[in-house]
Amino acid sequence: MTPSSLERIHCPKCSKPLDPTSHDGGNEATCIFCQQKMQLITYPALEAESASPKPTAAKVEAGATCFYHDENEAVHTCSHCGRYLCSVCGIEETAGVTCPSCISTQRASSTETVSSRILYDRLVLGLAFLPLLIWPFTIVTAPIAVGVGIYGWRRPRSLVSPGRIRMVIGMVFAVIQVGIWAFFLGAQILS
Amino acid sequence: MAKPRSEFTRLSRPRSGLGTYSSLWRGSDYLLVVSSTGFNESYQRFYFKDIKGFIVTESKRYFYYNVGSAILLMLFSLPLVGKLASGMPLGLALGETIPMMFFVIPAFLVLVVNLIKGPSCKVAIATGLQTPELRPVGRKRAWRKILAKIDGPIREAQANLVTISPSAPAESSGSPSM
Repeated sequence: MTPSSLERIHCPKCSKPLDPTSHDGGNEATCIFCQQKMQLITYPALEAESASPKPTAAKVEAGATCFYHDENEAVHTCSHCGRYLCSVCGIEETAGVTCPSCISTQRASSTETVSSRILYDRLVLGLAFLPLLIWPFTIVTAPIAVGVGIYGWRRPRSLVSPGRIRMVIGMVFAVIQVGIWAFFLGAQILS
Repeated sequence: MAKPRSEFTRLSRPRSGLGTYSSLWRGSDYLLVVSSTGFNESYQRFYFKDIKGFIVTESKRYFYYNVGSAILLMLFSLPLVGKLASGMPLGLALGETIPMMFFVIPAFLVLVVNLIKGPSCKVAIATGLQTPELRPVGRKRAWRKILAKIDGPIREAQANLVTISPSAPAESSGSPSM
């Protein structure tokens, strides 16, 4: 790590760029603004920043042009929809180059782009078990838990714990509660 | 029914915050920070090729937890100690101070767990655009284990950057030290 590259790192406490003079020569530094001592673990990307090429596109009068910029030369094809893309629009993914539109469409289902998910399995589990604290509420929450379970069965699950065991346990327990309520209410009506 | 396998490898146990908990996972070519409220998960990705470095700073949490739990432990143990000092048999003294045990035992557990987990730290991840804190990492020991798992893949992902930058010194590709 060169001292000058320290300017590309911002102090996590005061958010100001580190000063080259704050480097002790090893892997430690002190922010000159907030006096925060820190240990640095750096990677080649820190030094290579200035050498990283910025995406630019060549302007052309005729020939294949970008779907989104009709003056830019097309250099990629979207691997999903086949649109021609310039260097600015082509988004490199593990599976190939994708256009912004396809990224937007696939965002909810792709593990590489999804930003948040509702955990239906935990919702079902919560609806099945938490109302037991005030058990008469289960007459309402148990059917809701079953409904949420049916609705969420095929919905995308957690990225990191995609199992259905919570969903199954919650639904089984909610169905039992519905059965008990049906039996109890049925007996009341018949008597 | 075959159990669906996650594409991710867990790097840290969930660490709780105010109404949320977050954990760190390793994906194919990125780190995934998962923040959850219980019924919802949000994901933040840090691609290996974009990581410029990690910034580790000291945290006072270890000290405060130790001092806080030790003070609570002493305070709630005082009735027991007082009864023992007055000559009461241990069994009888314990019997009379059982309600205090509901406070003594948690304080003792917090102290022991904190001591076992070791010194605390804050880890920030430096990228080209931001330097966010890695919330799931709060202990130096855990951080060393995580770093041992991700350091190689990050350097591998940035191997071509070393040749691009002629100014990159040899030390930047060495193994990290803490």
